[in-house]
Amino acid sequence: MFDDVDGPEQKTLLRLLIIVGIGLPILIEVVTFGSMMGHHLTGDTGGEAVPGTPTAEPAGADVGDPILKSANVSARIDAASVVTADDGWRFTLTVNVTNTGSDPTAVRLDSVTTRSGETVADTASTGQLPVGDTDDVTQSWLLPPGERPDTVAVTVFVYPDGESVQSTQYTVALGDIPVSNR
Amino acid sequence: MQVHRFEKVWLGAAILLIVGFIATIAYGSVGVGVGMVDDSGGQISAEEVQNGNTDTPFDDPGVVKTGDDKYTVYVVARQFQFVPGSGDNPIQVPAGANVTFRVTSADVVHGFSVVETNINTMVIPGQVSEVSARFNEPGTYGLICHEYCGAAHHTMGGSVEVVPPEEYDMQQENIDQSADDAQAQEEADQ
Amino acid sequence: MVFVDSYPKTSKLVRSEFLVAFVALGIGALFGVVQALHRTGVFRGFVSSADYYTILTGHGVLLALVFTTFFIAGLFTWAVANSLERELPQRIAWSAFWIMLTGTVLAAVSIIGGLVGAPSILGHDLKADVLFTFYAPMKAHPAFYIGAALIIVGSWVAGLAYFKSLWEWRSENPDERIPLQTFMVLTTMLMWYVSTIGVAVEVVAFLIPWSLGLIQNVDPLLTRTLFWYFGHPVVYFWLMPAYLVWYTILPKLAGGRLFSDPLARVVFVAFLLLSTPVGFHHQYTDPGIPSGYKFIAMTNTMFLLLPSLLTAFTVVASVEHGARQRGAKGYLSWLRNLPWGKPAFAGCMLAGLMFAAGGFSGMINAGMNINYLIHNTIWVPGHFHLTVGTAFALTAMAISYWLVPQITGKKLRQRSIATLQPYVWFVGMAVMSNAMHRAGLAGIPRRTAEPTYDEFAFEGVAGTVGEMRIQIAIGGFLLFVGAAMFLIVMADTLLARRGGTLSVNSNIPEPLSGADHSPRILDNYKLWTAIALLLIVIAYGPPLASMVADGLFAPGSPPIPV
Repeated sequence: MFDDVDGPEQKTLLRLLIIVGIGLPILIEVVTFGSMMGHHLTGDTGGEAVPGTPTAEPAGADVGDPILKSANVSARIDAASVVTADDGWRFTLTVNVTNTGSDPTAVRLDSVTTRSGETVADTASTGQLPVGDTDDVTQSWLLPPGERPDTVAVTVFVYPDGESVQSTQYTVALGDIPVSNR
Repeated sequence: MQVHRFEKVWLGAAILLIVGFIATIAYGSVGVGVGMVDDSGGQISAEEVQNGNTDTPFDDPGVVKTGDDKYTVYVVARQFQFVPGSGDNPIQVPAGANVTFRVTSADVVHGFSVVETNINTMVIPGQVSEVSARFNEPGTYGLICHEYCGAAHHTMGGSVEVVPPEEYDMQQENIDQSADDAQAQEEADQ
Repeated sequence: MVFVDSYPKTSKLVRSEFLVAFVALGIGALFGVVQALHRTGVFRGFVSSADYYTILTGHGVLLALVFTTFFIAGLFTWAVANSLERELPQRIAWSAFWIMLTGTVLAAVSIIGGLVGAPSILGHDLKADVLFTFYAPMKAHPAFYIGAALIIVGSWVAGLAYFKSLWEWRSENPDERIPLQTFMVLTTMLMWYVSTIGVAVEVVAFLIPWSLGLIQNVDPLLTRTLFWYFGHPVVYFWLMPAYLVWYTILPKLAGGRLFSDPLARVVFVAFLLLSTPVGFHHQYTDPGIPSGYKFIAMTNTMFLLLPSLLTAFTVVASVEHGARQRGAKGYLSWLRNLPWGKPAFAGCMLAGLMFAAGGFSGMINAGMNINYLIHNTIWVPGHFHLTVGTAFALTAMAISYWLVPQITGKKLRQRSIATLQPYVWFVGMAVMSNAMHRAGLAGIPRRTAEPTYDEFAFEGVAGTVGEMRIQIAIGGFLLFVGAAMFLIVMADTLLARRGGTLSVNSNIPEPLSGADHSPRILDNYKLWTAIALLLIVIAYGPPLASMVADGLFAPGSPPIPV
């Protein structure tokens, strides 16, 4: 064997490569087969006994879901879409805000962070909402092509006496927003 | 032509293997009744599917009860979602029922595959894919588009929620109820 | 006499064809490793998930269309010149080369356009993110379709050069049998002529005018049916050249000679007959096609196993004969007497071994009903990386170690890298392909930038999804290293100065059972082509007739850019 190779190191290396190359897949197949037979023998026959595929991690907020845990406002997602184009994927979000507190308030959509961690800032705000009033705020962000929104930063402003302002920033995890091309 | 004895034996064994394969597949389709996707779904205009004027249930796709324990699920695949199926709009069917999926495309070629089942069909514009199935176990099944359909192809997934029959009927009643309520409300508003 | 000195003009042609093939291999392999790392989530910094599909299109077109076609053209050019002992007709052969190269440049530029912002050229966005299968109604730039058509047309012209050589040779040798290598080349080309009709009609009659806006609609089912009319025989267009190498060169490398010339001819005729009427097995899950036609395609596909099973016998028998000539004894220990340290031999053997594994997963694919479990899962690329990606590609690389010195007159350089290279490829492919097959059984799809979904998670049938991902990434990386090693050896050899005497030559020893033993009817091309066409009419006539009965362009789809 290997009578046409120079040097003993290379012969050893070749022998090793053959063993690894052929042995590795055989090993993997044996383990695969063994574990399948194991399932079979213990009565766990894969597809039938396992009720479907497991669900993914608990998702963030979808259309219709409330998003802010604030005493001053209640907010829910009214509409959300991701539309693809060559120059970028446009994420548009509409949030419906109701002032449930006892002071005037406003809600501002600040920035979106994509699943790969890029942040795109573009803000839009409701006007100052009197107690009990409701308003919609819509903003769209041009994400880099291929990027899907992960979280959106939202700031709630409260105006206790019409002059001073208290702000709180929230990071809202977004759920699965289907992507479309129009 | 001279053929070596070993070659003859090998040739015989090879032919036996091939005939064996064909026999098992023929048995699978005739004996066991493994259904194939074929032309039973008929044709449809992709443009009308896109515009929602096919005058078929594809204009308002979803689950339709067609008889005792019989359901037809109309699904429109479009870039890049299943309607219903994707996002927070899963396909819901009762366990143990005979479910027929009728799937078509509003734009390009898609795939429709329920993970780890043999529900697997291409979705071709102009054609309706028809697949029948029965889910014996309740649970959530993954649904994927397995044919490249554009830049966001990898986001095109969904789910099929198989619920126990009693629960399913109760849900339907609630939906019908709330639909009736909404209608009553609307009428009252007018 | 070295081949390059006997046939200097033909050698230059082969060198040019190989050069294009190797450049395509390099770029294609780079795209491959980018994908392997991206879709497994190991590293996603090269491209965005939207541009992943541009890379994927480039990988498919450059490797499965450009690398293969140019390498095959080079190999066939050598084989015809070598076995007919004459220079090829230069004008025809060079026109073929330039037509194919023009097509390659057009297709490559339109694909790369997608990576640089798709500038508008001649009123169309310059991009072609439509993958290797370019299913309508996804639309690419017209240049992509025109380029693809030119590559095919160029290969037709190349075939003309081989046939012209045969006719010249025949007029000088009226009673001789066609030499085996030329017989194999011409049978492959006949199969290619018959099968490329489908894609030619698809592209020229439908997709080019449609992408230019001359016709409004095409029928997506009809165009993809025409594609798959070509899409399966194309794999035999890749495989038959590998068989040519395994039948005629490998036994010599093992120190022996081919076992049987007649059986080799039978095998190639069988491919000519059965390669095309099987395309519906790629459309088992297509709507709009009655299952009866799928069943016919299935039986034809199963019978296509026969020539490959016969090849397994003949090749192993020939190599064993070679080992025994080298003094081997025993039932299995003859395997030790083979030149495993010679990269040309080792590469061909490892490619053949892997092809056996690919054959088995192909039998699953062909199984009309179990196909439902794996259709369009990553199992399928797992399968064809064993066949075209190893049986063809590794054979091509291995035989280059033997052939390139002969068409240049230069000794092979970097021998130690060359010696290791086939093993690196083999190990990488074993790891990657195995994991791909298993991931496919878990339902993980092919052709996707991110195989994870918000609505559910995949679960491995055996092993975990994470472990499979890592194996795919490691395997893909090793394959890239393997391709790079090959290209280093080739570059160093091609750039070296000529000197010394070569240890290889193009003489092919006579088979143990020679051409005299094979019936003359095997060389009757007219008969076999007629039967091949008849089988195609039976398999494709009725379904195609019913698809066009409702109008050539109906049910129609307008172009949709992606």
